[in-house]
Amino acid sequence: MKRDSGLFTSVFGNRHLWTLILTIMLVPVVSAAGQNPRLRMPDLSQLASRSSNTVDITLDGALLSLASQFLDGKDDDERSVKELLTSIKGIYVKTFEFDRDGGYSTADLDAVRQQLTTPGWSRLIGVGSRRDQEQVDIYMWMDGNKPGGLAILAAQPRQLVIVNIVGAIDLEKLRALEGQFGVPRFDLERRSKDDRKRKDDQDQ
Amino acid sequence: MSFEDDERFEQELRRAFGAEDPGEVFTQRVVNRVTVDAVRSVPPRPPARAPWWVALPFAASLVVAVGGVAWVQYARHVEEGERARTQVLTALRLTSEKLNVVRSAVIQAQELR
Repeated sequence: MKRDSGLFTSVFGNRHLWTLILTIMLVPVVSAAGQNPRLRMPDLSQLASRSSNTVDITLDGALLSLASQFLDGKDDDERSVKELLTSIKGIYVKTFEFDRDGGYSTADLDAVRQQLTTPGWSRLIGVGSRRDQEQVDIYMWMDGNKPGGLAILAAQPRQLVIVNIVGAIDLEKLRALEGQFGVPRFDLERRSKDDRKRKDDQDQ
Repeated sequence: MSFEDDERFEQELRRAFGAEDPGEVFTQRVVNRVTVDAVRSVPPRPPARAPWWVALPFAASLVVAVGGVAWVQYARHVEEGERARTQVLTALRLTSEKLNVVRSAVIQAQELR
């Protein structure tokens, strides 16, 4: 009995041992928290006060499920959105529109960009459009070999867009949505065909 | 008082205290009275229940109240659902638009090579 008590004290009364156990238990939790496809949106209230138009969308589990119920399954466009939502766990969007150029600085996005340098995130592509003076960067968060999250930073002189989608995302399906809701497609593609035709005409 | 007077007085007393048949009428009156008392001693009947239609306004009010609360909750649910739907469509449209910006830029770059 006395020997049992000694064993109890030696195991449960050892502070160093407990510290070690707790550290081992907490390491995966902390690392998982750091590797999360959900971005912590910084406080951009100053930007909001300067902008002429702001969109702030936060949709997670319950609201996405509710939205899915209200999408019309008979409508082709909404059915495709509904299908996309089955693998999406969260949608977070912030957009700011300004009346003048330079309504924001690159420093305003530093907190977001910093999160996108953490393990798990990788920059998929970044393009700049001279005509629209738009810079778009796309980041993917990979869950093993599968995409687990998406982040888009799009900056124009008078518009700033931050998109964060959590979940398994099919980029091609997502891209194909544009134009289905009455929004005209970006005309770079058409312009490039016109340029090629003009080039061909000049060659002839 | 003489002896004869005493004797007469005694006889009158005996006659006065002697049993006498009260008669059929008296007997019947007593029987009737006993019956009435017995009937009166029956415990009182409980008060009659109110008619069913008295509860009708209360039931109607209850139905209206419950229905009203349910309707308000449903209307709120629909409002939240429609708002969430609009937000989803807006967010995905915006995302799709930016993805197409990138795609178009890539295609343009490939074609210009």
